[in-house]
Amino acid sequence: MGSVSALGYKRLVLLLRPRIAALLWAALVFLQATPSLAFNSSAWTRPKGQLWTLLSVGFVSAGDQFDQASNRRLFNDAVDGQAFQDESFYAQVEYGLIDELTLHLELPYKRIFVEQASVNTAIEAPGNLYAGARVNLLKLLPIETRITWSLELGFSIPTGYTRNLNPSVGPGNVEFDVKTAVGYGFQIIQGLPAYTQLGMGIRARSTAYTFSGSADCPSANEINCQLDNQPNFSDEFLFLAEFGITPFKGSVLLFGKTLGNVSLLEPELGFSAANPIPTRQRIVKLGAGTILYPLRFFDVPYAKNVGLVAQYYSTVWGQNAPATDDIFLGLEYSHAF
Amino acid sequence: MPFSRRLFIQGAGGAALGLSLVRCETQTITSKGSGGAFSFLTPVDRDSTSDVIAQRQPGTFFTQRSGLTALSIQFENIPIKTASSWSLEITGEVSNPLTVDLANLQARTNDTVTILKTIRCIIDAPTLVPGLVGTALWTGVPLRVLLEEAGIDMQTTRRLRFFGYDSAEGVTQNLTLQEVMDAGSLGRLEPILAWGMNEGDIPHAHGGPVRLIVPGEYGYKQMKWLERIEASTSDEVFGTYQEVVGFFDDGTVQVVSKLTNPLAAEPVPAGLFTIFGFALSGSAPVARVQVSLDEGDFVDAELLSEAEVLAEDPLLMDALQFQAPGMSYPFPDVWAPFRLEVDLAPGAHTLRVKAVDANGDIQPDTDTDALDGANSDFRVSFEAI
Repeated sequence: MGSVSALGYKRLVLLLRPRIAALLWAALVFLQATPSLAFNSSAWTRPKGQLWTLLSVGFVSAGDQFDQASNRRLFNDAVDGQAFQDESFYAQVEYGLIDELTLHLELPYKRIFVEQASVNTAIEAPGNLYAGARVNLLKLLPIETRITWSLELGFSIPTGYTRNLNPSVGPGNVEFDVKTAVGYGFQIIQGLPAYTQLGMGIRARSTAYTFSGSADCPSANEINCQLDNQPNFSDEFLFLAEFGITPFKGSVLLFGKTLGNVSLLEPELGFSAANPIPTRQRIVKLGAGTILYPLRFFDVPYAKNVGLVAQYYSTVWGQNAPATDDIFLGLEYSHAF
Repeated sequence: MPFSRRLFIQGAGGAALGLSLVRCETQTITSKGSGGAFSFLTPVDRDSTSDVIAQRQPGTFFTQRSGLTALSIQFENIPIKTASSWSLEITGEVSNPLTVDLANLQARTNDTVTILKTIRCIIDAPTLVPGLVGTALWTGVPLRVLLEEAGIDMQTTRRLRFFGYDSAEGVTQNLTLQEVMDAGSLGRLEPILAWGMNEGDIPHAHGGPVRLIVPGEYGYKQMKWLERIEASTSDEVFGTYQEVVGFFDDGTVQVVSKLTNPLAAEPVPAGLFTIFGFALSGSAPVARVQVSLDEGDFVDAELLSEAEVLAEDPLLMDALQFQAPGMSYPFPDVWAPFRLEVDLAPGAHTLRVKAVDANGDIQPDTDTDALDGANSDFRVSFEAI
C-alpha cells in the first residue's frame, strides 16, 4: 500500500477491495487509550505520513482492591466508597514514518485522589513519558495477506515527578517494553468489516530511578510520603485480545477487548493503599468501547477525521491491585501529510 | 495556513519544551476533620459482627493491617481459623501441657476481663499516621490463669515464647515471666488471651479468633494468630521483630502526643480555632499536654474529662479501667484526647506539642531511633486563611 494522499482516507478505501478496506479501517481505528500500564500496542502500523492523535480523559476509580491472594476486599479498610480515583489526561500520538514503521508517543497528566481514614490526599503532575517504535513485520515481506504482525519496542521514563509522595503519579523507574501483536482483518458479512488482534509482551521494570525525584521522608508511614526505598519491581507479561467491527461504512467502531498485566514474580511486594502505584501486580481487564466519526462523510477539511472515543473497562481479576472501573472519553484525530 | 508536517513538528516540539519547563507537581492533603468529628475511643471495626458496633460510625485511627508488607508476613496468606478449628497449645516448662480451644476460653466467665487498650505501632512516626494507632475494648482471660493451670514452673521458666501460624516459618514473640505472671509489679494490667474486640468477635484481620493483648506495650508485642505458647528456660530475646528487624525487646509504649487537627498542608480558618489531638503513654497516665504556637511558650492543653469521654462512648463502661477501684481517668496505655483554643492570625503558623506522663516522662524534642519507638515532640506547619 502506498502513501495516503490528500484525497483522504475514505476515498482511498473506496478504491480498494473490501477485504483490504477492512484491514485499513482496522488499522485506522485501533485503540490505545488505556494508560501505558496496559498493553498499548497494535498489530497494525500507520500508513506513511499518517499522524494519529488521541486526547482523552480517564475516570478510573476503585472502592475495592484485589489482595495478594486475589480476594476482593475494601481498597482501604477504613473507607467506604471510591477510595481511589484517577482522573488523568492522556495525550497519545502516532506517526507513520514509512508504511512499515510507526512512531508512538504517550504522555499522561496524572491526577490521583486517595481517601484515607482521616485525610484525603491528591497529586497531579505529568506521569511517565512513553516512546516506542513499531515495525510491521509482514509488510517487510513481498506478500499480500489479511494477517498483520507487528513488533513494538518502547520505553517509559518519569518526567521528574516525586516518586515517594502519597500518592505519587508513577513508580519512578524506567521501564522497557517489547510487544508483539498479530491482527486479522475480514468481513463478517458483505459491508461489515471486522478485525481481531492478539498481542503479548514483556515489560522490563528497571531499577533506574534517575528521572524521578524523591521527597525527604522521615519515616515509612508519613501522611504525605513514604521512605524512598526504590524497590525492584517484577517484570511483567502483557497481553491483549481484541475484536471489533466497523459498521456504517466505517463511521462507527465497536470493539471489545481483554487486556492484562501479569507480574512474573509472585506479588509479594506490598501494595500500599496510600500510594497505589503498581508493584508486583496481576490484573485482567475486560472492556468495550466505540469511536464515532460523525463527520466522516462530510467534505469538511480536517473535521471528517475527528473521532469521538468512549471506552469502559472493568478489572475482573487481580492480585495486589486496585479493582478499578475505567472510563475513557477522548477526541481522536488523524491526518495524512 | 495549511496543516503541514513542518507545522506539526514545530508545534509538538514547542509543547514538549513547554512541558519540560513547567514543573507542575502538586500534592494536597485535606483533613477529614476526624479529630473533632469522630469519637476517639473504640473506633469501630468494620468487620465486626456485633450489631451494636455495626450501628456506630465508622471509626478512624485503627488499622487491620499495614498497607505494606512487613517481614515475611503475608496477611492474605494467613490461614483463617474459626471457633471450631482454632486451638492453642501450652508447652515447655509446665507439668500439665494444655490444649485449649475457643469454647474452653470463653467458658471461663469468672476470669474474663474487658480492658481498654490503645495499640500503637512502634514505627508510627512522630507525625500523625492514620491506621498505625487505635483503641479498642478487648475481652479475654489473663494468660496467667492458663499458665497456672498448666502448672508452669516458676523456678525454671524465664520467658514465654509465642508462636503464630501467620507464615510458613511462623512469626514469633516473647514476654518475660514478670511481664506475664506479675504485671502488677510493673504497674500494668495483665496480658490476656483475647477473643473479643469492641464487644464482638475478633476479626481475622485483627488476629482472631484469639490473640494476645499486652497492656502497656507496642503493637509488635500483641501477637495475632496464636497457636502455641512455650514456657522456656532460655532468657535470650526471642521474637521475629527483635531478631530480624532489631526492635528493642522492651516494648513499653513511650509517651507521645499527636495532633489530628490541624494537619500539615491543610489551611485552617483564621481567628479562634480549637486544635485537637491525643496523647498516650504505656507506663503511666498522661498528666499534661503542652502546646507551643509559633515557637512561643508552651501552655497546657485541656484533657477531655472522663464524663466527656463516657458520654461520647457508652461502651467504655464495660472496660475494667472504668470499674476497678483505684483506677481513674486518664488511664495508662489508653489515649487521652486533648484540645486547646488558639487565636490564629492570617498567615503561616507552627505548632509544637509535647506530652508528660504521671511518671514525669516527657516527650523529647528529638528522637530519631525508631527501634525503641520514635516519639519526638509533634510539630506541624500550616496556614491560617
